[in-house]
Amino acid sequence: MKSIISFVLTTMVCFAAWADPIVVHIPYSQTGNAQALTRLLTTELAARGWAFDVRVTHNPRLSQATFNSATRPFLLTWGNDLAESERDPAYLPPPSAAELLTIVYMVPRFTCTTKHITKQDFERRGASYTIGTIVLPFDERYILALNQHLGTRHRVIKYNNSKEIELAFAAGEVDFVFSSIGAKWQSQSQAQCLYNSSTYSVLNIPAIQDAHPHFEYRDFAAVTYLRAKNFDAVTLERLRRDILDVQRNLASYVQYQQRNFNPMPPLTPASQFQLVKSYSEVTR
Amino acid sequence: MDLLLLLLAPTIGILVGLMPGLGPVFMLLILYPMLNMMSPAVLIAFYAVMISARDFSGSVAALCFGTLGEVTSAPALRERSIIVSYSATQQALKDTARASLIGMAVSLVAMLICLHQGQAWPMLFRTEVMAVLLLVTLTFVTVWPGNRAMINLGLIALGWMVGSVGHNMQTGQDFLTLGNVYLAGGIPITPVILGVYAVPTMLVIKHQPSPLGIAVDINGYVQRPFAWVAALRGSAVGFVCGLVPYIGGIITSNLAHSVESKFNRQLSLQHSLARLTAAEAANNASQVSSLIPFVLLGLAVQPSELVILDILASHGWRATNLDWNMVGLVAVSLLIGCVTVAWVCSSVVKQLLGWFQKYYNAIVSVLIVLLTATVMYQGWRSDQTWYYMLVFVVSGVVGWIAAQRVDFMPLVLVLLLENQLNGVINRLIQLYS
Repeated sequence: MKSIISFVLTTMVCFAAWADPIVVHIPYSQTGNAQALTRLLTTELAARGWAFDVRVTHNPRLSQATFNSATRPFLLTWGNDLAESERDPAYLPPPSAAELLTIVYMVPRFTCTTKHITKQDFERRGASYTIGTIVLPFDERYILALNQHLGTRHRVIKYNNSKEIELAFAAGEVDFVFSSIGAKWQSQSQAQCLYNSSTYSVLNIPAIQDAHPHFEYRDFAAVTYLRAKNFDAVTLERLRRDILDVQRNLASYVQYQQRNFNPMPPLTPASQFQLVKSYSEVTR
Repeated sequence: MDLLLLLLAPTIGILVGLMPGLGPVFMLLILYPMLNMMSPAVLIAFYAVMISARDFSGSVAALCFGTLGEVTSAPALRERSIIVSYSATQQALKDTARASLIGMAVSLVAMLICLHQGQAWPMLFRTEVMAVLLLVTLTFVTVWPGNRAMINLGLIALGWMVGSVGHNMQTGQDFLTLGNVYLAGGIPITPVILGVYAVPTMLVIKHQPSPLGIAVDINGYVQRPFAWVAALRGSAVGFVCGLVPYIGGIITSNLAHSVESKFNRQLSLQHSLARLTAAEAANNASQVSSLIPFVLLGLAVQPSELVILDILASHGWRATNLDWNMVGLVAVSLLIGCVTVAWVCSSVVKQLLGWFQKYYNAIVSVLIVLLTATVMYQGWRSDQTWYYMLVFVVSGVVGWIAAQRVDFMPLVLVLLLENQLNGVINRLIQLYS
């Protein structure tokens, strides 16, 4: 009897999903990690009977407005680095435990150099090096806070995206980068990374928290997640179970994370919620 | 999809070369959404094949029909009267095909050497180098021949302003968004470019009489030895010219023709074929060598490359991603593409041109419908269909009203460059303040 009810419920859920696709908004670029990984997950879920209508808007404010006014089941790919504080008009408060569907990926920043500059030189009071960062407000805020903590005078040079940072790094235009690309460079023995901004271990790059436990942003990573709206509790629970299962078992998803040196996110709802909450507090 | 578009590259190049007014920038803008789906390596290969095919087929149209599809075909048009008087069109077509292949092959070898050596010079990626190159680009845009300099400056300012609308991540400020959530994401480039430039240009072409109504003469056959030395000389001239930003590709065939005229001065068929051979070899050699700064530095030295660069940048591709698989794919595609084009143009040129002549208007109409569908699809994919269509219609109306007086190309180029331009200016300030 239990399995019959379960079968009927599953069929109904799947049919409902097929009949009325769940809208997914991705306010990131058409070609970045957020859309690639969200699409990987939704494609695999579609094979399991779910139906999605994925739109890549490249416009956080439009997606925020659409999310706020949505009256039907809606998923939004969002991140703590997208609109970091209440000052940003596109700001959305962190999701509640019920709203959070899953973490799609998380990216720590690595402070790395190609110029054989030692950690002692970098941390020397009054030291002034150029640091390439992506053009997100928090990255600049992070370096300024580090300057204050160390008593240094490092200068931030902002680049439109991580590929531009990589170009500048290759050209020797900046002394350091504060970016996710550092891990790739260290793995190819082309750079030496002094810090990992998070406590998730990547290539044994030391966590900044170990060296500077009192630093304001001692544990930080950009975390991108899916938040849900207008789902009934049963459907959402089922979707959450399916998506976590996909994240655990889909080889292409796991390989994508490994290739980019992204730590695998925790795959239990409670720990995911804690992580999103704490990292959103850091950037707020 | 990638492979299909790559296979279509020679045909598209031939179409561009045969139809006057349908330049490569214009064709790339029409194909923009499809090109957006290509992987970077295939996109570069597609572009290289298309441009080579265009040059060759442009000369075929000039030789057979006396029409000037491309400025680069002017030497072929100049030699046409001598060639026709000797009934040697078929021989000229064959020589043109061979010269194109030689020019391309010589330049390809030189390109591989340059790319190999170039990677040892990473300082070429510095912001200062990019700033100088952007300055050179802007200088050429300022003196764009379609308008007076003051109009060009106005279009540059307008292009920059349109490109800057939206939320600026560098400053954290909104620019001309008027509190609108759509404008906060910026004005989409594709509908603006297609509306303000592509559609009005197509409508102008549509109202022109069919240009291909001149009799074909490819039946005469006179055999002359192929001018190998002229081909190699032309290849060398073309290789160097291709490296000159913005004007290199335009002047190359004319320069090679002038140089060859010093060695082969007479009005005989042999000398005429030698001059034609040099010009053709130069044409293709320059198209390949112009890829060197493009692939190595991510620097566009031709307006059409700007379109490709814009797509590559949106894919996150940078010159540091250069790998030998990509270079290999470009080289092999170029070889196969050029052989295909040479075969197509020499064997079915008569039917092909007849087909164009017959369906000239229909082709243009279909392209306009495709453009509109393209904008709608892009808008739908980003959940902004009406916004995209509104931008497209407004741009189209502005473009159509001003089409007779203003060439909007400077606006298009600055719109494509805007992101890079703002980034470089901001970085220079941060580096030197």
